[in-house]
Order: sequence, then structure tokens, then C-alpha cells
Amino acid sequence: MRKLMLPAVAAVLLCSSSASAAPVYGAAGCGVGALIFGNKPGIVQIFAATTNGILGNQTFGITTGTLGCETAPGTTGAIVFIEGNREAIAKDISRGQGETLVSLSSLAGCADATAVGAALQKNFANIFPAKTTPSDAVAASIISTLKSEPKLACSKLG
Amino acid sequence: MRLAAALRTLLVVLPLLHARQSAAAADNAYVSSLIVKAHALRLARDPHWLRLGHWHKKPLSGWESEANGPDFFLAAGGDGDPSAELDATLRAVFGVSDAGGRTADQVRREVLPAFCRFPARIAVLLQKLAFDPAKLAAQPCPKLDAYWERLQPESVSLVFSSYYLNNPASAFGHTFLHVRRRGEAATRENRELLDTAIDYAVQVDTANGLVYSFKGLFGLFQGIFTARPYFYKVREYNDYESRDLWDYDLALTDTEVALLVAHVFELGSATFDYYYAKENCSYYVLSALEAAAPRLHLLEHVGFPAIPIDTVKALYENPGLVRAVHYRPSAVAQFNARVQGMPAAERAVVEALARDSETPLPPDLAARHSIRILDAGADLIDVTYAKELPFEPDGKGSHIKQRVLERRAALLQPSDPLQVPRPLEAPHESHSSGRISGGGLYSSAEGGAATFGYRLTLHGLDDPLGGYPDLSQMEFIPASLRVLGRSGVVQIERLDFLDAISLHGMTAFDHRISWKVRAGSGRVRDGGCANCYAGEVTGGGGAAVEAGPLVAYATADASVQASPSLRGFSFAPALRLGLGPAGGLRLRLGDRVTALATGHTYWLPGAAGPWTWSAEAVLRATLGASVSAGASARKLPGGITESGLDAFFYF
Repeated sequence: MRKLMLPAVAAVLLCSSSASAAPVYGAAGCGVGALIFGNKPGIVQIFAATTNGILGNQTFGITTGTLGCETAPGTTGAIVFIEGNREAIAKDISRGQGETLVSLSSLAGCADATAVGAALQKNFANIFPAKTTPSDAVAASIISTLKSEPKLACSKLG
Repeated sequence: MRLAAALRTLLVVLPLLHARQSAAAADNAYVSSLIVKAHALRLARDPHWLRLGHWHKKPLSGWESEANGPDFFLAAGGDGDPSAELDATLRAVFGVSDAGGRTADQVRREVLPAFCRFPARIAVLLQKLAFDPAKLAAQPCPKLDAYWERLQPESVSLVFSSYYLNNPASAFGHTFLHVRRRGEAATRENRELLDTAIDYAVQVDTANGLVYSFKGLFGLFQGIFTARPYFYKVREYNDYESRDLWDYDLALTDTEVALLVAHVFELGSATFDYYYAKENCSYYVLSALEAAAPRLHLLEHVGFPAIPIDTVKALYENPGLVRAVHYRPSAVAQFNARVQGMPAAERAVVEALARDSETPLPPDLAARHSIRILDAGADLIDVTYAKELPFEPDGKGSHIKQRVLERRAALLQPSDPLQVPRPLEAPHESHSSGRISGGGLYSSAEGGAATFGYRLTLHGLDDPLGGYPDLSQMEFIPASLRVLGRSGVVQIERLDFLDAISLHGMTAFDHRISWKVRAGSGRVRDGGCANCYAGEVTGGGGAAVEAGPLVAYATADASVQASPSLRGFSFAPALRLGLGPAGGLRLRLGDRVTALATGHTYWLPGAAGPWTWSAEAVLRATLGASVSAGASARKLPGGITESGLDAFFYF
């Protein structure tokens, strides 16, 4: 019933999204749950408390909004991308094809996204051994799979 | 082209200037001459300068800026004085004020020096004043450099995230900017996830819904701009909330794109009062666009309230500004495309897979079909468990998904890329959000009357469809009155705050409930009160089914009415409770004609009656882009019948 009640209370809200401006770091800190919703699922997201002082220090959401969750080409960027797209990338790997694999190939500097898709699909069971495998372990397996197949030529993984 | 050249100088040469920063420090005389020149050019009243500081004329005299924060203005009182701010900006960026235009406190807080904090202002001043950039008090700007490196802006879109009634903050949609990265990848789709989304977001500091609404209405929240990888928006909107994203690609020049990105960086030092009804995400996104491209006229086309889709329509008021519209389908739209045309037997397996991941595939199935079923099953799981998957790795949804993906991967063949057809009408092709109506009716109880209606916004089940969610109604402040022919009495029929309906056609795949909520006031005509005006709150939940152009729904409702004239509870006669079924039937006859029949029967425990009911049917015909005509008939207790004709104008 909470869902029915809230529109009445807050129907005037034309549009908004909450800024979870607290910097997040570390494994899975770049996951969608942590970064977008502050790990508070559902309708609670709009009430997600942001304790950052607004005027106390320089807010600067432009540079700190996703601090540590940037996707520059290279291994770090690839890890962030995998964590932030965990659900979608699992599905694309099972299909051996998909938008996230094209983006990942680009970050990793791989020559051919189709070959990347086939290689990852073949290793699905190693990459996602269980539903609860942490995202950082998933990312590490994906990176090592990409590195272990020289013909993929993923040049930006160092 | 002069501005382009100037900006290129600024943005490309800046890093090179770092080395000789002290050598070319400007002197007071040079800056004074620039200030004199700026005054002679009346630059402080130049529209571009005013937009960069977000200044507006105050109602009587003077100026005020919509931007707040101690770091966005260099002059004391700069938020109310564009001229003083202009002078202070020149002094600061040429290094003749203290510490790069910073106070001791700002230095302590590591606020960027003015030279690094205001790249767009510097670029625009450079163009207007044609000063010698070598005389700028240049210094290293690692944050600005990193920001630029991260965005690598090539072009910009305004993205409309479609209506999402299940979150009240998103019921009207949302807009944000999509900054496309310059890149080697060949196609737009290939790199889009790695682009940047720039969002104006409210900083919420309360968990109390009432406080939240109050602060939001009266501008007590502050909003900031944030820049995030674009994929977070895709995951949030397309996947988690299953909303379509409509990307309006803007025909901006390279210079305008660069200025926009530079200005958004400047806005990193500002906060803005957040008013849901007007100065909201969509408003500030347009205001940033206007600051970057002074040729654009956007906000003047946005009324009150500032509905996100109206800000999209404002783009089209500038001919040629939208050069393409791209559609990014929601998770539900992707799933629907996957099962489109699938044989019933295969659809049944898809549906079963989302409940039981071990559901066997039909024997002797071609690999292509197995792939199709498992892929659709995975999509259905993502839709069904969207709210759970990101948060509960050990939950039921994760378990089912894991197994289905394992089975899919084991087939070791790639899927064909999914093609999702674009809906026929994009959101900007919808009818305008305001509506007025006028007409006449005959009532068996009151005789003839003239009728007038108004709705602040947005869309009803009986309105023309184009561009809105077909099974949703979100009416905000609908009102109507009648002028009785016999007596000339003006009688308010209805004044609601909100009348919302969210229907979900039940299918094997979609089990979501349908719901409705109404809060406001209206006239009561039944055994409890012959003709009185009552406040009312009604809510209901139920189910809907869809069959081609027909949708039928039924809900179980609870309603509370309050009026001094009611014969309600014995302990509180002014109050009564209604409980009972309600329903509706809507038929779309082609693109232009809609028929809608609705009714309810409520039991009024402990009140006079103790039953009340109503039945109503309306027929609407769309006559033009902003005109439709309607006929209506209504039956009420006590043998009252009413029938009327109305014309509706959307504005």
C-alpha cells in the first residue's frame, strides 16, 4: 500500500533524481546498487539520505560524483565497467554477444568484440561459478580470460 | 568562428601556458583597460554573460542569480550584480586579485582558483574582449584537465527518460544530458555506454516523505550537477525501472558543445534551489544549454509547471536544433520484442523458465529456437526481478538467472542482435500537457448548464494517445464547474489535486497489479447528500486485461469523503467511508476516437444509503493536434441522468 500512498503525498514531484554524492571506493563500490541507489532499493531511493554538507566544503558533484568509478581505457576502467554493469554483462556473456561486450572490448583494447564474446561465453562457468560470486572476482576472471587468449589482442590490459 | 578560435585557444593552449605562468602576469593597467572596454561594450548586460551567471531581472529592479553557493561568485554580492561579477572575474583571471580570486577560507577549502574554476566565462570574455590570452594568470588545472579528458566531448543530446508512475518523483519523466565521447569506435551504439551523463540532481537530506514534499515544493532543497558514466543511467532507467530512453541529438556547433561542457564544470561550484514544479531537473538542464548557446531560446517556451516533456518540446521551438531522435528500449520493450511472433508453446516455456530455471526445453528444437527461448527467459527474469537483482545476490531471482544463463552459455553460439522497433510516436509528439474545455450539458435534476473544465497537466485515459504511456493516467489539478441555466448559479463540480491510474494488462508474463489514486474534492449526489461538495481521497488496486484496442480493468476501492452536509458515521456525520468495486472499459477506435466507460458501487458502512454508485461513458474524437470533441453520459442514484457535449483544447 505504500506505493499507493506515496503518489498522493508527493505527486507534485515533477522530476528528480537523488544525488548520492558520497564518494565510493573499492570492490563493487562502483556497482549500480551502491552508486545509484546507495544500496537502498525500491521507492526508498528518492529518500536516500545524503549526509554530505552542501556548503561546508566544495560540493563539486561534477568531479566527485563518481570518484573512483571512471571508465578510462585500461584494466581499472574495465573493472569499474564490469562491476557497474554486472547484471547486463552476465547476460551478454551467456549470449556471446551484446552492447556491454562491445564497450568492454573497447576499454580493454581488444581487436574484435565478436571473438571476445565467444571467448567469454566459453568461460561462462569459470567467470560466474555461482550466483553469489562477488563482482570483483567476476571482473578478475573476465580480465584474466581476455589476457589468456593472445588472439584477442586486448592491448590495453597491460 | 572567432569564438571557436578563442575557445580552442583556451582549451588547447591552457596546459601549455602553465610553464610560463609567472612570466606574463598581467598588470593592473591592462585589466583596468579591459574593464573599461567591457563597460563600454555594456558586456554586463550581454545576454550571454547573464546566462553564464544565471542572472534574471528581479520583478521591480535589479538582478538575482538562480545559482547559490559561496564559490560560484567572485564579487561580494555578485549573485545580485552581473557588472561587479564581471569586473571581479577579469581581476581574478588576470591575477590582480588575491589568490586567484579566492578568500583565505576558500584556499583552505581547496576551492579552485578562478582561472581553473570558470573556463566558460573566460572563453566568452576572450571572444567579447579579444584580450591577449598569454596575459591570463594561467596555472595548472588538473581537475579541469581530468574532467575534459574524461568527457572528450564531441556532441550532446538531451535525453528524456519516460514516465514511471511507480516512483512519484519520476511520474512525469526526467531529462538529463548525454555527452558523446570523441572516439575511434565506428558506431554510436558501440561507445554509448562509455559516454557521460550530466544530471541535475536534488540533494535529499530527509527520509520523511512529508518533509520531502514540503521542502521540494518550496525550494528548500539544493540541487547540483553531476557527471557519471552513461551506463549508470542505462542500468538505472532501462533496466532497473524499465523506462525507455529517448535521445534527442542536438545540432550544436563544436564551440557550443565545448562551452556547454565547460559551463557544466563551472556549475560544479554552484547549487540551485530545487522547486519540483518549476526549477527542477529539466529547467536547469535547459538553462545550462542556453548558457552555452545564446542563440537558443528554450526556457521562454516552458510554462508552469515545467513538465520534462515540455522542455523537450521547447527544443523543437528552435528549428533544426534536434537533428536526430534515438530510441533506447526499456527492459520490458526488449523482452516484448524477443517474444514477438514466438509460437505459444515456446512462450509458455519462456514464462516457465522465469519461475523454474530447470524447465526443460521442448525436445528436438533447433538451436536457433533454444537460443531464442533462453534469451527471452533471461530478459523476463531481469524484468521480473529487476528490483531484487542488484541488491540480493543470494535471492531467488539471482538463483534462477544464474541457472538460465549457464544453460544459455552452454549452447556456445552467439545470439543475433536484437532489433527493437521504435514506437510509432515519440514522447515529444504528444498532445500539450495543459487542457481547457467548454461545453454544455442537460441534467434531469438541474436542467441545462454550461460547463467549463481545466487540467494543469498531463494525460488522461480518454485523451489522444500519441507519445504517452497508453495505460496510464496522471492528471494533476483537474477541475470543472457548471453554470446552471435556470438560476445562473456557478457550481464547482470537481477540484482535484491528483487523479492517477496505472494499469498493467495482465499476461502470462506480467502479473503486476493495476492501481489508482485520487485526492481532491467533488460534488456528491446520492442518498447521503442530495447536492453537496465533499473532500475525497480514494485508492484502489486490482487487475486489467488488454485485448487489441480494448482494455478492461477492475479495482477494489476504499474512499473517504468529508463534508458538513454528509450523513455519514453516527459518531462523525461529516465523514463517510466507501468500500466497493470499480471498473472501466476503454476502446480505441483507430487513431482518433476513444470510448471510455467507468463506474463504481460503494458500500457506505454506518452512513445513510448505505450504497452509492455512478456510471459514466465518454466518447472522444480528436479533431486536430490540439483540439478534440467529446460526448458524455452519466447515471447517478435517484434517477438522475446527465448528458453533455464538450470541446477540449490542449495548450
